[in-house]
Amino acid sequence: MKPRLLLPLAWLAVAGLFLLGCNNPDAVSRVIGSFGASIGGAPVGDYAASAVKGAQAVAHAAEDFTPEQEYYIGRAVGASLLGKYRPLKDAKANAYVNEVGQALAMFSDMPQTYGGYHFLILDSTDINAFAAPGGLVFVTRGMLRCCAGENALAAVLAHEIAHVQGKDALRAIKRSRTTEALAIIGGEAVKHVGGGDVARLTDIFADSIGDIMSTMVNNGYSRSLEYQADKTAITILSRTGYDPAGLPDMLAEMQKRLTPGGADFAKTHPAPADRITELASLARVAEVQEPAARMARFKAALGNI
Amino acid sequence: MGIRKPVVALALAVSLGCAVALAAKVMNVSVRDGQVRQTPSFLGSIVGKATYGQSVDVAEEQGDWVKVTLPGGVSGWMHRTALTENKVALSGAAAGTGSVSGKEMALAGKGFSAAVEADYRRSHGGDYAAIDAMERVSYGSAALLAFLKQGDVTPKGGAR
Repeated sequence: MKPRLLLPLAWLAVAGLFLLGCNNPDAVSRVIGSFGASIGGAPVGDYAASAVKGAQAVAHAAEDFTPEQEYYIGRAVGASLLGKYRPLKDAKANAYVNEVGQALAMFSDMPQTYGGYHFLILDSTDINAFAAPGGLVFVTRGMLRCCAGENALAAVLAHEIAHVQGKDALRAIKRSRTTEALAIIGGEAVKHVGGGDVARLTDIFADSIGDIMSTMVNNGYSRSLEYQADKTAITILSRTGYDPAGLPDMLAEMQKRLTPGGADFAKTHPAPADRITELASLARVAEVQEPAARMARFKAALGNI
Repeated sequence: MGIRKPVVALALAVSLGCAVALAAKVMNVSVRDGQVRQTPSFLGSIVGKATYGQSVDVAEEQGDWVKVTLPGGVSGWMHRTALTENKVALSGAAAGTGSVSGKEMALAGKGFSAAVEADYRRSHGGDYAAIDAMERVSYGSAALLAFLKQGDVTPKGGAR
């Protein structure tokens, strides 16, 4: 009897060891996943110091801020924009733009963000559109007037979704701010301080919003980022089922309407003609067929914009 | 003699169970309202909700979709972009275990957070009421696909 019991007892011992080794696999993998295995036994103070050093080496807002932080940055950018532009008070038009925009976002490479995609028409005859981090997209009445139909509207919105997906606005934040913010965030747990650090973080936050606003409203992104957003827009339009020609079509119309030297899209984007040329291999200006039902709902929602 | 089989079975069960736990991949929810669906598609009916920062066990991956099990046991599919391998927040359960690191503590609602937003609003203003109203406008995936269909827009890819 006794020898026969040895085998099962050995099994039990092995199983017990296994059990000890993985008593909290969740916590183990989480820690390893976040920082590599070295953090396990290090004193917290050492870790904070290394976190700060690490942050200085690699800090970049587009990669290092969590989706929740991106969300708060996006809200502040939006709130700041709405200090310059008023929202258009037209529930029907705004609902329609949201339906087209949110449908397109589903077919982007980033269909889900922390707070989701939301669209708003700005009550301005400027030709402009903005994408705040996290998925808040703003488009002026002037821009909507460049759209001959739903396809062209989809092209405008797809271009802005591409900027969200590329985290282009976050890239406008100066690296020094990201580095400092991450240093404070990394050090906070050790120091257990509250008010002073929140105040300093708020300053960095405000400066970061300033960086984004000056790029989005005054200087514009680089030409290459704009061309890339156009190309991504073509992908999103095709996947969703819209005619990609809607983008060059809309650009051709915009070319006619933009005032050279104006303070809107003319200032922050490459000339529409250059964008059309850049897109030539993907989509060309062509007559876009809009089925009757689609044209009817476009006119009903935006006909008097 | 009669003791042998149950003991072996128990030992096997324990070691196998542990091996499975060791192999499990854990991801974290990166969106505020994570939708867990019955099938790997935006058309799949919603069987559960996951909240930001929650850790989920990954059972299977299929293109852009990941089959997960929530802490409560609910299982279903989430879109890959709603998940991250990075730790993004401290869940309430983990806070009590004493196993969290300094960085995880710091990420618990710190950084650019609601507190920073409140501070920023006091000093910089901005039309946050309009932003809140904007965020309330949201359509479900089924409604959006119906909208596309009504306009004779036929999806060719993505959102699968």
